[in-house]
Amino acid sequence: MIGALGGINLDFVGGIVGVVLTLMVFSYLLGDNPAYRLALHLFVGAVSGYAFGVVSWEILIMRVGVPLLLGQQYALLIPLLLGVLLLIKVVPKHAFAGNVSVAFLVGTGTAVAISGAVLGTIVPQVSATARAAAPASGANTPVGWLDGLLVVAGTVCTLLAFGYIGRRRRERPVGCAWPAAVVTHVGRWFLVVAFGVAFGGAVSAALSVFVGRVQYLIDFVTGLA
Amino acid sequence: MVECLVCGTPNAQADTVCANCGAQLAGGSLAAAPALTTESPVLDQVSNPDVGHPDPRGGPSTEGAAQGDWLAQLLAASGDDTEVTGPAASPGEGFQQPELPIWLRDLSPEEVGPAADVEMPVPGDEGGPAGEPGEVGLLAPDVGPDDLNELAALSGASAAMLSWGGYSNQAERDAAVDAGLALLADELAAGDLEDDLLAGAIPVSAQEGLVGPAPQWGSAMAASELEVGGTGLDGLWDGPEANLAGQPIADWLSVESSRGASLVRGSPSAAAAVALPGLGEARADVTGETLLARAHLIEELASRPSTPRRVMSRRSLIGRSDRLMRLLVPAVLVAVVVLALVAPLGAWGKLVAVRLPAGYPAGPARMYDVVRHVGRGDKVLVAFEYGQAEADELDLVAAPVVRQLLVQEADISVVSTRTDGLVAARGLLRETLGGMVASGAIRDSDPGERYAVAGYRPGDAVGVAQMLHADDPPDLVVVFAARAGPLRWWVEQSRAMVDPPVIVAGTSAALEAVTSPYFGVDAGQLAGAVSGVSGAAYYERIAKLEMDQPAARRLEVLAAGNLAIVALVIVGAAASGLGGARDSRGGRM
Repeated sequence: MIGALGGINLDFVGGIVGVVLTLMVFSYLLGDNPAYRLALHLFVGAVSGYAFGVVSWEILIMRVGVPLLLGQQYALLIPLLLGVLLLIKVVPKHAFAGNVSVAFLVGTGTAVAISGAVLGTIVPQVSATARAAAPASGANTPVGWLDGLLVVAGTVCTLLAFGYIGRRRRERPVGCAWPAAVVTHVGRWFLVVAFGVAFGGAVSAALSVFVGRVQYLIDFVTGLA
Repeated sequence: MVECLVCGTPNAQADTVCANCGAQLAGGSLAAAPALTTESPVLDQVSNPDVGHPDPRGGPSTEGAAQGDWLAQLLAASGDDTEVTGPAASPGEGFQQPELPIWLRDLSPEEVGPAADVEMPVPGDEGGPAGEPGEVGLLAPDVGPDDLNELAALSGASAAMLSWGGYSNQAERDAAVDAGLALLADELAAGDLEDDLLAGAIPVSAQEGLVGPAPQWGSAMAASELEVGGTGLDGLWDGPEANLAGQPIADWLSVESSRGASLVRGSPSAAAAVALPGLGEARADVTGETLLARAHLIEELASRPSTPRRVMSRRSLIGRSDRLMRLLVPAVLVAVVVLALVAPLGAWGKLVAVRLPAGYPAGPARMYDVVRHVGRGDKVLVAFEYGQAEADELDLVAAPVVRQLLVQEADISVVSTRTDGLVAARGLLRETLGGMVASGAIRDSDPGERYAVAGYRPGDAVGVAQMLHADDPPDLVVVFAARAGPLRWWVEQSRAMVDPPVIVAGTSAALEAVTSPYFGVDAGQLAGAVSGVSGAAYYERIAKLEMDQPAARRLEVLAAGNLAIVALVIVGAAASGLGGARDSRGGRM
């Protein structure tokens, strides 16, 4: 229970607001209407306001302001200065002052992302694919070799499906040799299956959220009785 | 008597300079104007009606012969058939001295000064005695839409044109006139100006921002245009057309041209355009160049075929079957879900009842195994990378894992790279603790003793790297993600560490295809994974938690919903097939 304020049950008020907003969002099923748009704007506004509050409190005040006031970490003046320079970019005349902050952000972010992608995705995935092709990988299960073969074939074919390299042939359209064409075709079928799985998962997730909302409405109504 | 156009003082006929203000009495402008001869291409149209007038866009026009009586009236107004003089020239017999507008009277003593010293601004020249455009009665550049600002800039050319003093030669003035007319015609053809004026997008204050009031003829014309068929021409002209005042607008428009009448009557843009500030404010010169320019404008507009806008309502774009489907699909889904939630399923329930396989899938089983080995005091970083919008699904996934961690009294730190992730985290932890206290699994529910909210960390991948490289690195990282990005950050940044922590993930069903490569094929990047409600149901069954199993119940409702979707797809495909067959038969007939 959140509590009561002046005899008003805040849980009940919150439930009412939630039910009304849920119904307003569901009204989009009947077409675009002002109620849906109002709920949408409320959601966006609430999320933006909450984000501003979180960032202001947890970052600007608790992580920067308080340590500086207590004289503990003067090094925090550097990110604070970079942040101020970034804000100056809103003034076109002095926008160049924020280039240092942007350069720092882009450089740091790129370095972290690249190192993470190489060490965290490419190398482990290539290694795992190579291990899947090894005969020893399917020793534990009867069709383990088929699993490894599918993994390797799917990876190779899917990567080759994005190769748009052809050869100009006399009096024939540009194309590639038939083995490459077969591999590309197989790769596209792997892509179709992957997209189908992803779409099925998205539908399942959306349906789960929908069921959750309906459950919320039913619980609220039954709670009133 | 000759009335001074600057101050209105009557002077003797022989005087050339006003006795009151010193302005020259040669014409109605502020400076002495050169005589306008028929060398002007515009005035060539007047003196030689048989010659097509040049199109403002540069192309020759063949409409000169159809100009009608209005040209004769213009010529009569000019007072000379062979040499048309501008307002600055000596008025002829037929020249009727126009009434001086109020704005010009207001300007004359203080801002304009002696006529001989005044230099009217030329287009693009912001300097000069007239100062900023607003001082000469133009819209300020920062008010009104861009199209009006452009017109306002061109109206500077109009004002200069009226003064006869801002151009070095005749050709330059004529070019400015033609350019202004062409731009105005484009605006009218595009309809933007019409919309702005009629919809009130141009504030009244902006229109009233002129030094002088809008000309009376323009207001009257606009009013009469809105009341087509009525009379609104009283006091419209002081020139030769004054005898038409009080007549129906169609009669007056026939004077201009028959096509102009149809244009103005059918489209409000013409009236709105003529009422534009700058082009119509010089009422004093209505018998001179302004009248010619206005006639030129109407002729130009009339020569263009009107293209009616093709406005299609949104409803007409949606077919009946689409509307039916849009209502039918959600109605069926809502009915099925509500029935599955509230009504006893009975025999029908056996159809959708989910029987999980006896075996355990690898993802939930390994995840349970990892979490089970977390001891008391082990540092566990729980990342809630989903918000309230995804909480209906992800809460089911996270609840059993969090409950198990709480039971095992792990040192839980809650973090998120999303600002709304902490809201979802607090809500889930509060409900889980409440349920555990109610079931007797724990004695108290003091959140401060059970978990710590480390807070929001910005920076995406950089923030994740900072959390992982803390002084006290975690023993286990549990990521609950609804999007692929945060899951990838956690996996990649942990693998980039020298001593990577163990990571398990609970994700949305939509991310199962993203999670599988990290978990499957022995990549080893994820030690365990639970995806969607089905994975949560497996985890509940593996953990044998002493609590309700909401994921298992949700799974049955999901199965009913999926069944309804499949039925709808089949019905839709059948209907589409039957409809297609009927259409093809109809096409053959």
